[in-house]
Amino acid sequence: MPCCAFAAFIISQIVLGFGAIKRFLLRSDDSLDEAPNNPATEWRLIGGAPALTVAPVRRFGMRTLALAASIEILLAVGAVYGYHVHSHEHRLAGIGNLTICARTR
Amino acid sequence: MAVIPSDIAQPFIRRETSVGPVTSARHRRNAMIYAAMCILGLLPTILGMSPELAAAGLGLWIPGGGFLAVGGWAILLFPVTIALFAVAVFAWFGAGMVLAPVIVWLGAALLAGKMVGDQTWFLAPYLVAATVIGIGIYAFQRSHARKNAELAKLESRKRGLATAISEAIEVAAPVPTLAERELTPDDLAALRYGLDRALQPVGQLNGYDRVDQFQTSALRYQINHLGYGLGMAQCMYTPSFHGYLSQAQRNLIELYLDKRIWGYWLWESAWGHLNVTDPDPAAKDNIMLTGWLGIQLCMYMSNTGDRRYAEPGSLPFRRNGHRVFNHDAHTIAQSVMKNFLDSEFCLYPCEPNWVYPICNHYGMTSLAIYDRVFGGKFVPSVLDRWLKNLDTEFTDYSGSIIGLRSSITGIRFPFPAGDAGFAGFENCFAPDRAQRMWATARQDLKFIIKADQTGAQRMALPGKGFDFGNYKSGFAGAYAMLMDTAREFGDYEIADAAQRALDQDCGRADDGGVLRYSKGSNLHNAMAMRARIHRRDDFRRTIAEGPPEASLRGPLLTDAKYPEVLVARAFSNGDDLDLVLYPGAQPGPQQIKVERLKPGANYAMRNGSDHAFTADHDGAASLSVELQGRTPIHIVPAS
Repeated sequence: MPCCAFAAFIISQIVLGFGAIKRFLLRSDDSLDEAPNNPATEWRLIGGAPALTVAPVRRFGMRTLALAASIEILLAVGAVYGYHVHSHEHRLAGIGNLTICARTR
Repeated sequence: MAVIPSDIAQPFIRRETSVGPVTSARHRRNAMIYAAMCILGLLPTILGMSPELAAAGLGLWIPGGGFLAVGGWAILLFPVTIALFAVAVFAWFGAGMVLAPVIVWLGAALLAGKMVGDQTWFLAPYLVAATVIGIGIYAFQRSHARKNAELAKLESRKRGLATAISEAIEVAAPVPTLAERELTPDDLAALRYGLDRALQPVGQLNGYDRVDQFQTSALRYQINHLGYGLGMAQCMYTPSFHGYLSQAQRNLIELYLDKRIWGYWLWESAWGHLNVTDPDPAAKDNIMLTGWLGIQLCMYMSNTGDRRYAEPGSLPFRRNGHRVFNHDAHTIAQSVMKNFLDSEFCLYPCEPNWVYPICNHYGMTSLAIYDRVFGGKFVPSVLDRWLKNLDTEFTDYSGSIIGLRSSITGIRFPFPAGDAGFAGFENCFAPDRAQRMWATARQDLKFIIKADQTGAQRMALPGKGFDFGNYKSGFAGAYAMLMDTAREFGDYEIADAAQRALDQDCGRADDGGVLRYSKGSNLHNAMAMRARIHRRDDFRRTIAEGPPEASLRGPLLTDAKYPEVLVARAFSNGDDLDLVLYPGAQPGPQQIKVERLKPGANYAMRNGSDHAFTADHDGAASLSVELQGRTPIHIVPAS
C-alpha cells in the first residue's frame, strides 16, 4: 500500500506537470475548441478599449492556486508517510532475516 | 523573369537521396554510441555482476529500463520515465534544453541501480530487449512507409513538373508598374493594424500575444513580421514617405532590444550551450534572431537610406547594468555568415542543436539584402554550398524541404513545413528554384480550393487548424501565408481564394478604420497585413532591388499626423513628389511637412488647383492640405 501511494504520488506529479505544461505553455484548454476572438487583435492605438490593452499572462485565480497547493501538500505528506512506512518495513524484514539465519545455524 | 521549365525541373528530378553525408555520419555516430551503451548495459547481467550494476545497465538500453530490473511497484516507473523522457525531448525541442533527455535517461538508470534489492527481476532483460526491438521495428516500418509515400509523391511530381511550372508561369500576373502602385482603402486599413502596434511608446506591448518566448508565439516573431509588412509597404508604395512609417519601423527595432524579447537566449545558451558567462545573442546559433532581425534592419536602411543601425554598438542587447552585447547590422550579418561557414550542415541551429531550414531561409535572405545595401559578397560565397546541403541534408524523398533536423543526432523530427513557405524566400536569392517550388506547391493547393455559397473560389482546409502565433485553433496563419506566397508569384487566383477564406473564416473586422482578423493571432494578423498589400515579386524586389533610386534623393514627405493622414502612395522622380493621401479620421485640412526640396526654390502643389510655395533654406516646407477621400497631390518645381 505505501508503495502504491508512492507510485501514485509520482504519477500524479507527472499528470499535474502535463496539465501545467498544457495550460501554461500550450494553452491547450482552448487548442481544440472553436477559435475564440483574440483580445490582442482588438487593441487600437487611438480609441481602443483600455481594458484590452493588457494581454492576459495568467488566467489562474487565487482559488485555483490554493486548491493546487492543497493537493500538492496532501500528496507530499502522503509520500513522506509512504516512504516512512516503507523503510520501516524494510528494517523489520532485515531483522527477520537475521533471526532466521541465527536459528538455521 | 525568363524561366525555362525544363531547366528548373531537371535538378529536382536528378535528386536521389534525402540523407546526405553529414546526416549519415550523425546516424552512424548515434548507432555506435547506442551500441556501446547496449553492450555496456548488458555486461553486468551477462557477467553476473551486482544487481545495482545490472539494473543500471538495463537502464542504458532504454530510458527507465532499469526499473524493470528493480521489479515490484518500481515497474510503474518505467512508463513514467518514458513519459518524462518525452517531456524532456519536448523541452529540448522547445527551448534547446539539450541536457534534459540525457539527465532523464542516465538519471533513471542510476536511480534504478540505487533502488534495486538483493536481486533483479529475472524477466527484466528479456522485457527490455523485447521493448527495444519492438520500438526499433516500429520505427523502421514507419520510416520505410514514409519513404515509400514520399517516393510515390516524387514520381507523381516528376510526371507533372514541367507542366506545373509552365502553368505557374502562364497564370502569373505581370509585375505592377510604378504608376499602378497605390494602396487601396482596404490596404491602408490593414496597414493601420501594424502601425497601431508599432507607433505605441517603445516598451509597451499592447496588441501583442504573450504566451511564451521560446517557440513560434514569441514576441520577436510578431515584431519581425510587423516590421517586414511596414518595410515592404514603404519600399513598394511609399518610398518617398518617411514620417511615422519610418518611426514605426525604428520603434519595432528598438523594442526588439528589450530583454523581454531576446532574453530567451540567456536561458537557451545556459541549458543548450552550457554557457552562462557569455550568452551573446548574435554569436553561436540563434539564427531565429540574427536571420530574422537582419532582414528587418536592412529593409529599413534600404528603404530610407538611414544607416544608423550600421553604426558600431547601435544595437545594444543589454543583459543587466554591467553587461551589454553591442551589435549592429554588420555584426548581425557576420554572425549569420560565420555560422553558415562553421556548420558542417552549412545550415545551422535556431535553438541549440535544432536546425530549422525555414529560419535558415530567413538567414540567407538577410545576407541577400545586406549584400545589396552594403555591397557585400556573402551570398555568392556561400550560396552554392548552402543549396547543396539544403538539397542533400534537408530535403525528403519527395523533393520537399523538411521542417526540422537535430544537428547533434541528425534525426529528422516532425514539424510542419510546406514548399510554399520556402518559395517566397528563395525568390530573393534563387528565383529559378523558387519558381519550381511554387509550381509544385500550387499543384497541391488546387485540391483545397472550392466554390463558396456565392460560387466564388475560396480555400477550404480540413480540420480546425492551428495558429502558431498563440497555439489555438484557426487557419489565419495558413491562409495568410498562402495568400502572401501566391501574390509573390503573381498567382492572384490562388491568393484571392486564400483571402476569401481568411475573410470568411477568421473573423474579419473593419471597425475603427483598422482591418484585422479577430480569430487569428497577432503574428498571423501581421502576415495577413503584408499579404494584402503584396503584389508580384514585391518581397524579392524589397530584398534584392530596394526602392527606386530617385526616391532616395528626391523630395520626401517627412511629417504627417497618424492616423489623421494616411499615405497611399509617395514616389519621387528626383525632383517632384507624387502623393496620394486619405483622411484617416475626419475629412478636412491637415498639415504635412515636405523635406529634401531645393533650398529656396519655388514649387507648385497641384491638388485640383495649383498652390505656389517656396522651400526654406533647409529645403523644407510645411503645407496645409485638404483631405477629402482619395486626395492626389503632386508637388513639382515651379517652371
